[in-house]
Amino acid sequence: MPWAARFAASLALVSLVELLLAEVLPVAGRAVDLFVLLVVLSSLTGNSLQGVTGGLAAGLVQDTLSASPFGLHGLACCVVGYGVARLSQRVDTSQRMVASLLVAVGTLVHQAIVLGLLAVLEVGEPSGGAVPLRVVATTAIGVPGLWLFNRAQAWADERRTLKEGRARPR
Amino acid sequence: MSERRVAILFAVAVTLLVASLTAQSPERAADVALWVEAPAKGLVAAAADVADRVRETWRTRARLERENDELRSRLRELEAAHAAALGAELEVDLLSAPLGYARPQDAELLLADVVYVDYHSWRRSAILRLPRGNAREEWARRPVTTVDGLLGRVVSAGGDYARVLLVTDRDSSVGAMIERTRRQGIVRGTEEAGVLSLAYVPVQVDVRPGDRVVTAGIDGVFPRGIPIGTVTSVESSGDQFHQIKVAPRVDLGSLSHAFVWRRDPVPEAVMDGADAVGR
Repeated sequence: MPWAARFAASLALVSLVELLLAEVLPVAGRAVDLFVLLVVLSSLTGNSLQGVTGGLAAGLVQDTLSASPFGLHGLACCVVGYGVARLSQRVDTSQRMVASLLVAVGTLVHQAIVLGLLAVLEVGEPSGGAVPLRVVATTAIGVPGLWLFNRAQAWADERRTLKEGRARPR
Repeated sequence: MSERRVAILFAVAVTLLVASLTAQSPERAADVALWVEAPAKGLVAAAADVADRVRETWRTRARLERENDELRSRLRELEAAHAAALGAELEVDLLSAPLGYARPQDAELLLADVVYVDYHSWRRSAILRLPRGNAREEWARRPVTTVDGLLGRVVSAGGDYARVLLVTDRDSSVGAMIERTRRQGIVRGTEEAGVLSLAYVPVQVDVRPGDRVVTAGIDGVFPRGIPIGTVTSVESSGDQFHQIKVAPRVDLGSLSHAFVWRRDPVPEAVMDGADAVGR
């Protein structure tokens, strides 16, 4: 399955979960930023172009679902996706601590960009109080998410290897 | 290639945000445009300013180099002239010593404010305010000059003020000479304001428009060599003397300060005696 299709499916799933959370548990919906999580997790294994593309797509969907100015999260997620993708090429992302740190830093940077743009452009009421909560909650969700992500990737690799083994002539 | 695509995607993200803000509020769009535009304009203006300064500095430098060359050349000329003058002075001293000739001493000049000038009416005069502490001095008949040349002589003084009879007044007469030929005559004021006449210069004497006229130092009042004016026209209508018109050197319309010479004129008693001897 190509990267774009996998990312599109993941984005659709995240959007669905975000909508459900907003309806069922609004507090959790505000506390956890699933789109940033998606961008960070996809950028950890991708290159910088995939990071920016994924960031832009996820951010624009987030802008569409939220009341923020269209393009605000798009730009913020772009930066996060690019940054995480570049960083992940320099550090060992297989270590859980490093990956968790990248998730936390990515969320923090995302929040900082959004708040900064809101303040500079004077288009909303930036609230810095919820930032630590969002960073902690997103990272807390991100760590098991990362584990699931890795597991899913390993399973997909295993299946691919198995399929290739069966197809190989004896 | 990948970096280029990344840059394009970033540009798309920024454009979308700006477009979104523009659609929401035109005023906000103007603010955002200004926010983006102002630094760019500032940068362009700063660059233009730097270019102007460089250009101006270059021009100024070229001009200064030119002026410097001219001034160096002029300095060389003046140094040569000064050396020649020093030589001439030494020669004069050497030649005058055996003759027992006493050269006139340099006079002290007192700077005075011009507080009144009338150079158009019947009585052409000026009033000077003298420096304080000189009220007791005898000011009458002392020469008055400006940086350009002869202005006139003091005719009366009271307190800190002195009245000067301008060289252009009809009652004024100054012993003068044509600098080029050293031929002497008398400069007088005429009915025409701002025009002097040089009288008693015989028709045989070579006088040309443009000749400088200076004081001759023969009238007992004015020292020799003060510029009076320039010959503007010379007419010889069959008389014994030229009719010479002279433009005064001093611009009476722009007077502000004058120098009063602290130089005692020949005493009137002596002058009268000289007249008596002459009679």
